[in-house]
Amino acid sequence: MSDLLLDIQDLRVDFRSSGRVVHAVRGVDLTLQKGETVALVGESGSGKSVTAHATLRLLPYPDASHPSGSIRVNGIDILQADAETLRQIRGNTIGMVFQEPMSALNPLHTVARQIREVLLQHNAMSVTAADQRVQELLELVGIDAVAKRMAAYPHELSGGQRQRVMIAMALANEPELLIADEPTTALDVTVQAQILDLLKALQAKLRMAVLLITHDFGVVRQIADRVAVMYRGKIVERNTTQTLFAAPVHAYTRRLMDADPKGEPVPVADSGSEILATRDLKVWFPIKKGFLRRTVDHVKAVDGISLSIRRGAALGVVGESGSGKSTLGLALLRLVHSQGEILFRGEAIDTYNKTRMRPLRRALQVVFQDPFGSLSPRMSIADIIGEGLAIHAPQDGAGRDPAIVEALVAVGLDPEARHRYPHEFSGGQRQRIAIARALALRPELLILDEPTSSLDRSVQFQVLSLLKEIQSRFGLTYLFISHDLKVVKSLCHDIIVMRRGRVVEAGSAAAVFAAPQHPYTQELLSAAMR
Amino acid sequence: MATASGTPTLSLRGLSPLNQRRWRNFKANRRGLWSLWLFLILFTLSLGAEFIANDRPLLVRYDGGFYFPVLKAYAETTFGGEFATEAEYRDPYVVELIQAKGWMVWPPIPFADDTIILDLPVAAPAPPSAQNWLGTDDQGRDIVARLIYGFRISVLFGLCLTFFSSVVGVGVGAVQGYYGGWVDLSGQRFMEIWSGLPVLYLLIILSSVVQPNFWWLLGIMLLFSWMTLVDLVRAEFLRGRNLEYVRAAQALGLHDSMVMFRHILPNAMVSTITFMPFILSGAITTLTSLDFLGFGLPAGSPSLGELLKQGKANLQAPWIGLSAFFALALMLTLLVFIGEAARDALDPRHAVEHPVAETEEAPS
Repeated sequence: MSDLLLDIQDLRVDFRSSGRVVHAVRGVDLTLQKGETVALVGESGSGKSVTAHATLRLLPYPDASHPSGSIRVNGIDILQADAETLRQIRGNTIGMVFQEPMSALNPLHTVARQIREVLLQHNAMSVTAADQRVQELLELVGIDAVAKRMAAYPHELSGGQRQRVMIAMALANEPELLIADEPTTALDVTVQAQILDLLKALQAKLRMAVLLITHDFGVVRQIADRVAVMYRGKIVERNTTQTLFAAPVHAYTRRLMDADPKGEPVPVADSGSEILATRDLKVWFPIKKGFLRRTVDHVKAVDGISLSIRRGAALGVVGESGSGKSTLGLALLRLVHSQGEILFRGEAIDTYNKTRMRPLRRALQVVFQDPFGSLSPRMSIADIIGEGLAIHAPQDGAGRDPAIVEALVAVGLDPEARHRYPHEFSGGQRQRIAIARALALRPELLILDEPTSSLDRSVQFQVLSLLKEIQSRFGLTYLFISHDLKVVKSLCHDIIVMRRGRVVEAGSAAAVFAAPQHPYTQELLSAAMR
Repeated sequence: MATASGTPTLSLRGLSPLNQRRWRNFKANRRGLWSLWLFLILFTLSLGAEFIANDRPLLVRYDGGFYFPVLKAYAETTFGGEFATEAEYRDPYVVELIQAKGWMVWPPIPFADDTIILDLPVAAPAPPSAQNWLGTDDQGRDIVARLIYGFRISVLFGLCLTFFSSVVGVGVGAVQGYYGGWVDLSGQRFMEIWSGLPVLYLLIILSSVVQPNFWWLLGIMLLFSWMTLVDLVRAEFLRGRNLEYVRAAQALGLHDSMVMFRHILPNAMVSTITFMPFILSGAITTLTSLDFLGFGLPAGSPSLGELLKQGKANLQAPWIGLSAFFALALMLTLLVFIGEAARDALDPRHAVEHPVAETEEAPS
């Protein structure tokens, strides 16, 4: 029994908001031995993060409450502990790494100061000694040029470096348990792989236990000893990683594992005419300095891109964050200022002003990444979908209704949904609504800017099948922007790989996936497909 | 379930869930809720000031017929008098005439704001008495009547100024924030220069050219007060124009004005509405101080500022200054409390503290 580090018994968590009660966690039992890595897997809303946060009593009490359950860390019940005991446990016995490295670090303090604070909080040590330790920690988590980074502010670091700093902070007092809440979700694939390797190495080196919260089975397979699958606030299956992957028992587990996008792109005639092309497209944002705001340099978000899309095909634009792929999409929509020719249906639209662009917008539509941000929260679904129709097919409100219903049916939603508001829908449903908004105008080219990346895997799969279905049904052309190579592979005929605003590799999807030429593409592929 | 969350009242029907939550948040602030009710009652009463404080009777029974002097002007000859001008109902002669053939019902306060009481037992300003509850001012006018009318004109002025300056401010802020760049830059610089103009001097100069009345004052004040909201709305639009649903609306080919007012403005309204009660109280304070200095409403108008000025000039009659002070303090305090409650209600991060007992009733 002495090896038992964390013991969660029959944990329940209720949230109350405006009189309604949500049962987020409904009786979870979970144990963690010293030095062991356990993954808690589930989709968003399954209660996995809530369980993790409850372990440190970080939930928004008193809105959150525990009708039953106990959480024992080395025998101390966290739920009953007083503030002083809790302070000792937080950051000392248990360290925590959050999902979003952007917002988990204080932007006003240097890296060194933030880590030092954790050290001084729990130990009686001098500032010099603490700084010594900070340096060790940063070296431990593999940050280069440590001396320079210590004085850096969070915004001066990349996402991966920030996550490393977060890990260093969590490790500062050599915790026995590290809780990592989706530590790699917000990071690019190549960086994800590095962070996972780092966690694995550190765990072996420091012999600490890790409770990993994730929705990604790829991550689980790499580092977990045991897995617990959570679904709607309960653990539905638990087993050692090997056994679970070899023979998943519960239907939900199998569905999660199968959710990887598969299948081939919709077949397309090779002879399709060109619908959109660019020649040497550039989007440069000026950097202005000095009293007179002279332009001293440019941020070259898109730096000389030439591409061409056949009618009816899907072109994948792949790259990591900051590669300029979203800016490229906005430039094609003429929503940011750009230089270079853009040919749409043979017309050079890059010289068109707003008025001349307006009739073309009907044929050129877009679906954005964030289904929560791309629908105006104060408009009903009918208003959202009907708005474009009001511009392009002026007729009275009743005349638009059939078109709205048709669009909703096409994306697989109940037409009655049109009387409701966006907040009543889940992420996947919202993305369907966003697609319906574009579809209502009967576009020819649809620009999809990471339409699946903020959705759960199984929902991604549904949205992808929907996209394929409507592509073959309406003969749509897609420009598909994504960082997720698996998704791109199942949808796109052609592919361009972008890095720092430039194309590093282009060709048919089959060719690029089979034999990537550029080292960057190779690195992306190996990180994504393992 | 419904009992645990409190039975929804009639007033909540037809509101979106978000607005229902806001109304609940507002009600949770007891002080703000009480202030709102008190203010609404006072304001509604003052809107009917003619029926509360007037030098004309509410109802006259004369020679078998009914007359409503508050609503309609009757000539003295109607009641058997001698002049064809409007009857002076406080004139003992007219009173005698009417009471000979009928009766009169007076409002609770039988003086209008500009009624000069000629039969005061002492020299004006007269101290509080059964007839003049808060005494009279130095021209023999009843202070309660002047307070009621003064309250009304102050609040109406404040409301008008708030409304118009919000319309202008939101419009200018929206344009600046949405287009950014040169529009924003030149707009901001213009506002910096414009806000540097000395309002008071302008008013003094202007009052020597025209006799400032309610609308003149409103116009002049509006020239400068529209800037309060601009920065706020501008900031909201600068943020809002990069939201994805705004981009999506642009990609749909919507006109700029529609993007601005259908997509961005509803989200900018929260901070705007939060600000409004404070603009209202600011406007009232400004009007009062102008009246106090003598550059406000025309002489003889019932105004709190003018009453304060009299209080200063007649320190031997403390009831003048004290009445004006307490009326003003009450009004501004109520507005500030309402503003605080509105701010809480619209703040999405503000969680209402639930009573502990409710937890037990949580349904399964």
